[in-house]
Amino acid sequence: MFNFRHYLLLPLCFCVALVGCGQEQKPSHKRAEAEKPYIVAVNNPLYYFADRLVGDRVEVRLPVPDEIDPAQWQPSVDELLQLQGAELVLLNGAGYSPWVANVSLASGRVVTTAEAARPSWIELEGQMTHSHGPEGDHAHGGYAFTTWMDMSLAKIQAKAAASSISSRWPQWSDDVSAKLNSLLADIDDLDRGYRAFATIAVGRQLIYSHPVYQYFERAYGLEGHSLHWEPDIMPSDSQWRKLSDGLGSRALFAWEGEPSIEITARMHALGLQFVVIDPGARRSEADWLSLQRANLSRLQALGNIGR
Amino acid sequence: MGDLFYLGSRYISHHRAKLLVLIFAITLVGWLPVAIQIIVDQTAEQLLERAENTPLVIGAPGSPLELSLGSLYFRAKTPARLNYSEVKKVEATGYARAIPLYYRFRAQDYPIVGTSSDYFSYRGLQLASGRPAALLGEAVIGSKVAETMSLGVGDPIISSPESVFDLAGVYPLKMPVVGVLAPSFSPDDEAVFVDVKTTWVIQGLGHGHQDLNRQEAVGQVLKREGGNLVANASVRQFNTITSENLDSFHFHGESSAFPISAIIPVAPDDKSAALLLGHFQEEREDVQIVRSRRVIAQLLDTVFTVRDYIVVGIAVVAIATATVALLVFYLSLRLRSGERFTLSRIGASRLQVQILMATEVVFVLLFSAALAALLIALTRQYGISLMQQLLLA
Amino acid sequence: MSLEIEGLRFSYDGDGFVLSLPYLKILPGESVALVGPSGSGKTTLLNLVAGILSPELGSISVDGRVITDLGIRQRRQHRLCRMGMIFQSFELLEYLDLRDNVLLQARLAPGVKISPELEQQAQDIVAELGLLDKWRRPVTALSQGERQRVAVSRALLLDPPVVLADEPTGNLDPDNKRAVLDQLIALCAGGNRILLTVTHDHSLLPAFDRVVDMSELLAQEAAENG
Repeated sequence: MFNFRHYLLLPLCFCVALVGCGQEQKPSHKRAEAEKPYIVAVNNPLYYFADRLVGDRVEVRLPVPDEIDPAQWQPSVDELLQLQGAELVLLNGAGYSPWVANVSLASGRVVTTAEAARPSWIELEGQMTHSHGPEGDHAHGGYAFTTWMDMSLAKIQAKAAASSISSRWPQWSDDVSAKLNSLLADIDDLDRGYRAFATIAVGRQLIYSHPVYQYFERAYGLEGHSLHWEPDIMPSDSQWRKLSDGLGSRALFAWEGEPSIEITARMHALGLQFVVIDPGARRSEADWLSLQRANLSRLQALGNIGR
Repeated sequence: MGDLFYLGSRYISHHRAKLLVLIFAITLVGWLPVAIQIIVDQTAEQLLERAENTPLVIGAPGSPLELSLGSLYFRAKTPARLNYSEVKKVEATGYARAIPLYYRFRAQDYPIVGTSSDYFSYRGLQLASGRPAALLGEAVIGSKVAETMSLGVGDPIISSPESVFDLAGVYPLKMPVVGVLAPSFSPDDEAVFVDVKTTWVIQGLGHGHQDLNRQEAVGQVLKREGGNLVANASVRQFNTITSENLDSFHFHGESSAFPISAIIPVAPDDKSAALLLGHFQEEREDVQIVRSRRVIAQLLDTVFTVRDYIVVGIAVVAIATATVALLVFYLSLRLRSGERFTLSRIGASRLQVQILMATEVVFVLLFSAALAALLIALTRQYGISLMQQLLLA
Repeated sequence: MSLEIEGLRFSYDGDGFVLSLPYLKILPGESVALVGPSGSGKTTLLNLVAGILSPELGSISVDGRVITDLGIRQRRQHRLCRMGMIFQSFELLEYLDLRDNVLLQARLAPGVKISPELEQQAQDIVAELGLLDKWRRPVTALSQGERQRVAVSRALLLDPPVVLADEPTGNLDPDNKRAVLDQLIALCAGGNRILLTVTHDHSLLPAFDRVVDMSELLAQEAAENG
């Protein structure tokens, strides 16, 4: 039966409840322990630049699998999350990574390295744009994106990378600046090499395996005709015939990668001189500078040009 | 002594209606001023803490208070527009990173906050489940949103149209929830976070639709002008962004001209913050930069003044209540004079009689004090959230 | 356990009334009625025996213990533990039920614990008075006669040697008066208790063993003092 003890207990219970009720713990507002800082580049040239500039202090990542052309790479969600965590994301620009428009990346971390050269971007012909209604804005068409094959643009991209790195880590800016100067000197060497080849190559008919040399062609006056041939896929007979029909006496075929033995044989049979000019977009065993120097070696071997 | 308390308890039980009213009145005047103090103090603490954690906010010229409240609590009226180009301008100063905020739209009662991935690390927000938003159209929701709307990872959340009658304007976008935030006991618990580009899609500045170059889209093309296809109004736009149609989404116009509500500049140190402040205050008249803490503190001064008046009012009521309570106890004693006489005649000591008479008073005061203390503890624990729910409702 | 009063003298300050009782002895089991006109000192004598008042002269002893020699506190304790008090207006606590009213004096008495045995004792007394079926009923729900029986139960619970009743039937209807008084007298006689009762109702006097007329005492006093 309810008696006084129960009345006495009630306030005591309340008091015990008070003592027991603690302030609900708020989560700490401390940010999560950051993993070691890293930079992400979307292609091999940018990866090389960043690594040259700050690779001894900060991890530089190129998340594109080796077998995939970085221009065709579409990052997975996990790869995008990796990009979100990067201190800097070095983009190429000129529409190189079209997926950027539809992903979530903090603009402060993203560097479009070729942005300063936007007036020099080569707009692709034959690209359809669209608008909605007569007064609507256009959606953009496309650009050629292998900007780094014009060494003057490559220098702009290297400088943009250096600038963003120095802004992010001002304590290393002097070191980055010195390394940039060294890198620019190497790029200048490449530029001289390509210009030297261009003087030798005057008058030659140039055929490119893929339309990835627009900036190279424009920069060094090496305009040519572009096909859509893969170095490891034998073109059809009609394609060979079409090529053969258009061949001049001083034709030079530029492959972006080493052609297969069968293709090589066929080219030899045609009497067609070919050379590999690797844009170096993909990661390989050799770094980008070495790849470019190898390009120049091969070009030199064609006509014994000096560097 | 136990017997006396037992007799006292019988008295209390017999007169419980009267005593409950007394307990209610005394508890109320004991609890209310303290509760008001607690709620105001806790609210102030939260407001100030949020403002301390967001020292600077940049927005379009206008009311600093609206800008601060909007950026910190996502609760202002439709914010004045700022161009997205301001984000780059802030970053170009070299003094700070810029986190954009666009909180114009809502998903039912909750604000949709368009921002960047930096916002979460800035606020120290952790995920309870799922992952951060990585793609256009993905949403990460606060814990309260998840709880109230019964949403989890994989569920869709739909933006609310701004106006039923604005058919050509903001239309509902269905966004997959990819992450749920852990409770942070801040306004972030009640927000839906998306990339700022997603809010532009909601606004209609970006969209996805079938490829107009394809043969089957010929009915949607109004005319061809050189290399540009002009689409007619029959183009069906996607109201949800999926992995299949993501690539079709695009924006018309320059993103630098697209709107945002505010920017949170994140300076690495006080010197950079001061330089940024100076830069905007002296060189830019087309934007305003406010110190959130100062603005919120001014707002709180007013709140504290009102609180003080209320507490004084309640104190007056408390005096009146105490007077009435004393009168009730006195009258009760008078009514029990016969009982005192009886007890005395059968041999109870003066002390026994006094203890018995005092039981009523002691019980009421003790119970009221305990109840008030319990209510105060509950207020301290839940007062703020209850108040917020009341205000929201 | 007899009650003995010797040479008792009491007067109220500023009042001409003087109570003078040379000698009175009441034996155990004896029921005595105190009668007399209003103001003759009946209730005063009861209060003196109860220890509520202190005489100027004389002594009152119960079973050899001189109550008038005790201090206030001791007299009160004696009253609690060794006397039963029954009043005209029953003097029950309205907020207690029958059980708690019967146990009231026991709760106040020092050294007395409300044990199951004591509770059984109370139930036995209440059963004798025909009220056991109302054991947990509020006293406000009882009739006048039932309430007085509750008062009687309370007075008898601690088995006091002396029971003092001040107009115990004063507020009862004629049927209940006799019944209650008979039960009270029977219970006191059965417990060998002294019952000292003040009453105005002469029709009840035959039920008592002895009647003491206070007006005779007053006349005696007046004659002695001229």
